[in-house]
Amino acid sequence: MNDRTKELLADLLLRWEELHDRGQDTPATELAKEHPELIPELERRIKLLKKIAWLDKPLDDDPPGQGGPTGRPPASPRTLAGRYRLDELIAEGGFAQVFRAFDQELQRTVAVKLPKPGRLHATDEFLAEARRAARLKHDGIIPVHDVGKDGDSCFIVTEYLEGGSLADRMANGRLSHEDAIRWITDIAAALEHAHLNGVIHRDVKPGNILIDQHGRAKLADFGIAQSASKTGSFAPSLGTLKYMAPEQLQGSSVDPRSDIYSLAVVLYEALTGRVPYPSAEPNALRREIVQGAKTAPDRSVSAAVKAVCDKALNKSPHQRHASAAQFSAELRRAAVCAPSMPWRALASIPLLVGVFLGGYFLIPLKPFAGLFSDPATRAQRLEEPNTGPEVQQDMNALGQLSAEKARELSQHKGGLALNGLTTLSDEAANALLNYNGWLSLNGLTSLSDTAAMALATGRGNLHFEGLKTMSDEAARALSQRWGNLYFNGLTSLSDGAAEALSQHKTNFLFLNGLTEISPTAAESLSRHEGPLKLDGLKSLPTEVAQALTHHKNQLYLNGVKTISPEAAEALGRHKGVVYLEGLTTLSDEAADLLRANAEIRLPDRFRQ
Amino acid sequence: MATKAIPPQVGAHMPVGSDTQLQGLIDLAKTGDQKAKTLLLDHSCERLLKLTRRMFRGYSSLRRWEATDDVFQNALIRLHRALSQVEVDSVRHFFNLAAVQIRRELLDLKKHHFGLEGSGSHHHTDQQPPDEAGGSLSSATEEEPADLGMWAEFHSAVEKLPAELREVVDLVYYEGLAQEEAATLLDLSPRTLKRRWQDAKLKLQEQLCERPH
Repeated sequence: MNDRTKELLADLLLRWEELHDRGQDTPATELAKEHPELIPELERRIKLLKKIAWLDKPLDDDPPGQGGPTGRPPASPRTLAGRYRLDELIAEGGFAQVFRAFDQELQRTVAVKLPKPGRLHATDEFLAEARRAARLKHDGIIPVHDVGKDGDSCFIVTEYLEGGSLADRMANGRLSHEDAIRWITDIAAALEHAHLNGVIHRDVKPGNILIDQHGRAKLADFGIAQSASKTGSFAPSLGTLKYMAPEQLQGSSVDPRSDIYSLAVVLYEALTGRVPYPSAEPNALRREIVQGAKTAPDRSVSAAVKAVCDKALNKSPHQRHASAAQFSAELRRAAVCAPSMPWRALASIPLLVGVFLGGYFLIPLKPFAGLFSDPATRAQRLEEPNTGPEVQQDMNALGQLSAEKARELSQHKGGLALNGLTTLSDEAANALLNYNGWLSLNGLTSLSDTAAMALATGRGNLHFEGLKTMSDEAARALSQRWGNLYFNGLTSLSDGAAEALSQHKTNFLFLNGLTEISPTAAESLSRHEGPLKLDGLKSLPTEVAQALTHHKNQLYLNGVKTISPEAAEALGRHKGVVYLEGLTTLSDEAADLLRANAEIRLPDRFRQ
Repeated sequence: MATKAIPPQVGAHMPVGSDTQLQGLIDLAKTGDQKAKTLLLDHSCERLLKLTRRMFRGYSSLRRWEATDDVFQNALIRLHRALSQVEVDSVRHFFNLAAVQIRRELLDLKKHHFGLEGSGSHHHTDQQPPDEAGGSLSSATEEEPADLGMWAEFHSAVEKLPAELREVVDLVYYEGLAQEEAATLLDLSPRTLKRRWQDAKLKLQEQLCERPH
């Protein structure tokens, strides 16, 4: 066929198609009557085009049908490896099935996970999953009992939990807030352990959270978990869209904060009965996760809990909690503050002692049981002075404080001075989390964020006179401690740490080691509601004085030697008592301005 | 950076396509506007969903999975991830990549649901035979793939087309552009585009007719 014939045929076909689009099925004989030699080929091509005409039709937009699997397949009668009898299909995903099974050798019920037939790399992936889960020993993680092969198929045997999954519980109606928060903190503990062991779960969702007969939540299915250091390997599933963090969806690097995000989605759903991005259609859901605004929870969720949830659901991982332990601590704190929470019930929520470092023990919050009897008496009791004798523990003789020793000491009622201790391990700090008495750790020269977080939960004064610096995160944690904070060894304070410490409530804040302070930090500290001691400041720049005028409680500035009229004028507007008893020189003008405020305490010689 | 505004007809949640004057969006994307890229990505994900529905519409027992099944969600997530990484310095390049990804995902979906070969891929469907489906002018002779095995053959046939024809199929079928829009994007006259589209259809149907039944 020469080029001219090809062109002619193409033109005729285009003409046929134009007419066809208008509803006219013009025969080849009519179209090619001037070129009868082309009619057979034209007819052949028309026939082909008719057959593939569906390609020109717009894709219909019909909604998903209401059909679907007509129920779970019947339980398989199989017995795997001559040992595990599969009794009932209890869960099914795109890649695997989970059966309730009976271990005929040990005579116990177990759960057996099997890949669906035809799934690629199923054996390798299954073994990898089993290894990942097996190396994570934690009360909050479902243990792997066995791995086996049956024919070509590989399977995993795990503990079977009677209580079903959190998804089952939620399907039966909205959960109580205390159950929801208890279970979420259980899972946060499990995740913290996994993360500290370098494993990211990547598919945290209600279906993977199982409830045991004691009502404790456990994390299952490390099928797509990945070592934090390992990327790019084949994974049969990528996660579950509804619970997936934006960075996970976009293929960016995934870290523990992605799991925290997913856990926060579960928390949100458990508290409100719906997920933050509720679209059922996956494409709309995908859009919402990446760029949409989440729906607000209803009023039954307290502002404090909502704030924790919002932070964990931030689209930017950097804005979320740094660790599952931090998320858990903030959530528990927020829940305690929530006016709608039944205090007695909340007191039974296990605290994550040891969770921060992957310990296995959960200590019930017994010492708090009376404390939370009702919100009205809570604040009052927190202010009660510690009673009981002081314990001076000779840490030089003791050396390092072991977690075991710390737990023993934490049983003491009263004050505890561990001033010879120069380092505090996270394990020991976690053991002290349950301790409610004043605590003196003046030998410490550094404090980890994790340890600070653990110590934040108790009550009673905290003495850290040896600390020279403190991270913003540690300051943020310790600001939540009920009791006076003694940080007189601090010689510098970042603006961030000052902002964090401003959240400390009505107790004393001692920062006498600071010899100077930025106006920004002063502005933050002025929002602290309790007495503020800054006796190390030798001078008081006007900007700092102006910033401190917003403070409304006792302000100690006894190290200041002199003060300008401008600074004096600013301090004259302070609403609380200001101590300036270290002044050595003062202009008449400044003295007059200070004397105008009767609440300013001056050395005798500068009084009228 | 871009100073042009998003065309008002292209809302954040409105799938773009031939019915919404994609050209404005394409122009905008060419300027590097991030919002335009997001909408192009949305568009491709929407096409994946529609093409998937079409492929599976004969399988009433599978119709619900598209909203719930993690296999489809994986396909969607993979497409989203792949296209998130693409710089839209060339809209044509973006659409080419997107179409290849969509086609790959459609083929993978078939494999995931019915295995690599044979077993079940020529599954019986609930779709009515073409002759019973209606008596319109074209439907009497159309041969749209009736099962997943045939769909896989169709997608594979597209892979084998000459590049200039495959690109037209990518834009018109996989990406859902109107022929005029595809012509603009490829810098072709509308008539040339129509010719290539017709050639592609003929070659595809010839390949599909050669398949063993």
